[in-house]
Amino acid sequence: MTDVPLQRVVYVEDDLDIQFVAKLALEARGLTVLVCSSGHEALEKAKAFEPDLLLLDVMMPGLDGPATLKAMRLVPALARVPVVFMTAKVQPQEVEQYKAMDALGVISKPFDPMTLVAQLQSLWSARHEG
Amino acid sequence: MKVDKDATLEAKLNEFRQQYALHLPEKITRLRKLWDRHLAVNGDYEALRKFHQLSHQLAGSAGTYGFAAIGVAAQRLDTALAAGMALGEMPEASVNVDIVCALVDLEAIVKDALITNVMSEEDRREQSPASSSCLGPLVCVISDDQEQAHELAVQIGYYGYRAQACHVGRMDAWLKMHTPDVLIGLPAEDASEAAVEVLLRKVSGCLLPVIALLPDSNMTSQFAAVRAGVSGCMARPFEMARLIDRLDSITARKSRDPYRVLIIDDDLVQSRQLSAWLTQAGIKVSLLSQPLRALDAVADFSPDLILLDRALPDCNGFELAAVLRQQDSCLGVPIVFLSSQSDTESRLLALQLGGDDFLPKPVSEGDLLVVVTGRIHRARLLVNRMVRDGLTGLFNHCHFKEQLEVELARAVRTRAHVAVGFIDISGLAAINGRHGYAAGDNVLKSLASLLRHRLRKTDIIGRYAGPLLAVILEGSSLENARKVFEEIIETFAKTRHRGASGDFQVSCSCGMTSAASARSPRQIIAACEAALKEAKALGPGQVKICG
Repeated sequence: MTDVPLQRVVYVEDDLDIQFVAKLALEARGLTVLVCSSGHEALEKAKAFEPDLLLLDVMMPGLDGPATLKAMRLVPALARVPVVFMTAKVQPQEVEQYKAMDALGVISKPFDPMTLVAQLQSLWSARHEG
Repeated sequence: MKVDKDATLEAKLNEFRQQYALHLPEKITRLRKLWDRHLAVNGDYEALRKFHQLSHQLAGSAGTYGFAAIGVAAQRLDTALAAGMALGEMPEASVNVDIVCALVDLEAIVKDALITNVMSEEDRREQSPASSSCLGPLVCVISDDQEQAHELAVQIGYYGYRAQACHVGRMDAWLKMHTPDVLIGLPAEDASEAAVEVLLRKVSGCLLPVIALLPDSNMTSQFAAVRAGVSGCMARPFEMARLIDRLDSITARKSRDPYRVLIIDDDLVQSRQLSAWLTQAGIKVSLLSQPLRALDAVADFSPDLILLDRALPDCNGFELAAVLRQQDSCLGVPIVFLSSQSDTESRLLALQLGGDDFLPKPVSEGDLLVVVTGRIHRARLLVNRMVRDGLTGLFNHCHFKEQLEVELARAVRTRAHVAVGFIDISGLAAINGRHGYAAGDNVLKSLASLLRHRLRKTDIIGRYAGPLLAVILEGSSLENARKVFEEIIETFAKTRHRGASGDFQVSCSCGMTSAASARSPRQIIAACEAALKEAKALGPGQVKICG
């Protein structure tokens, strides 16, 4: 399938350590990234950023990843933006649960910064198939 | 092209990894403290929630930074707590036991990981002397005046802290997402006493260390601060250097320099046992079994204390002590004897020959630690008094020169790079005249503080003369050192100082040289002075190299 390349990512993560390294990994591969430290911040800023993809940490204080996604789906401009979750606890049924929330997939933590973008790209290009 | 990108990414990741490693011990200590608090009050839910959050973060981040084992251990903590926390329940006794075990494991693994990490530390030296401070302790300035808070956060950021500003109205939301090490309560300059108290009460309600910066120094506002329960307060106008000192002591960034003990003993069983006890207490140990190599070992390891067995091959311990005492570098180093002969006479002889204490064999762990830590503590205090400049806390002129000699000799032996720089504050006399001597002193203190934070522990900083500070960068090429100095000078120029006639900014110049060609200290100093003269002739804010 001819495909729009993945360029703009909204990335939501509360842990600064992970934020730093993921931002570095994403930007080193040429992606433009809007980093938000909370679901609320993402809700405020994501629309104006016009993202191609949302990358959401699952467990965050306050608004967690799934709740952030639900809120975003109510914003017309964000209703159809594909989403990928990031989480430390990846059980098979959990992956199914996220997929049921129309997530493209789940990236488990810890992740390899060198291949993070490759993982995202493969989820991105498979997005109309599954 | 891709290969290039990979290499850059990898290099950056490695830098981040070092930073991450640097702050791992703090995280583990924090976990331990939270857990202890939770146990101490028989179930502090707030502490437990933070404990869970931190272990969850660690589980995700440690592996990503290449510390897989730490990630796995943290994951055990996370998993043990997850189910209960989701329901808002306190963990059961059996879960508590699991957690304690996992926590002890985690502590051990981190210790190991850091020891192995020391090796990569060597590689890092060449890379970047001024560590990028993106992962320093987190400080949050909370104010009802966002602009002021932001300004202060920027200034604090220059000293290697991660500093953020937050409006008091958004504080709760912010704290849900961050775990700062210190909060600074900054009431607006024109705030009423009641408003000050309201702000400080709110800030000190979150059980973190708080420094209050009061609008003025009158007693009523100080009382208000105390009533609000802050842990320390300063009145405006305050000095940046003093605030940074406070932050340092709260976040314990100073004094992390471990004690160093050299054991000279040919009985390996005994020395390994002693070494194990000392290492467990966080003391660095070097073992030497051949007394004839003692002088080299002292020069290389620079111990805080020497443990010397009385009976040695080739010479006896007393003779060795007498020889060591004749070396300038050993003059202030306590020497403690180990001996099975504990009669008064050999004890007196030991003291006469320059020993400081006497431990009868077999040595017990308790006695060893009491004698060693007590001696080192006092010796360090004394040395501090002798070698430090009273105003800035940097090495004084004499000691800096001694260190220069030591470093040059080391550089010749190890063929490492050494760069030396002189930094001069422009127009300090004029500042003294215009803003008063106290303001001039503060400028010096603040530059000293900036250097201490921006440079590595191994770098040597001294007050060479009046407004002239001097730095030895161990293991740095000239080009790297230049970058470091340029960055420091640029940062310093942005720092704002308070004076009798309002705020002002100061610039400085730097002259530097490299010790690559094994020159004498005198030549190095002359070269720095010449380079500095050239730099100053070019105008403020310049760095000049004299090759």
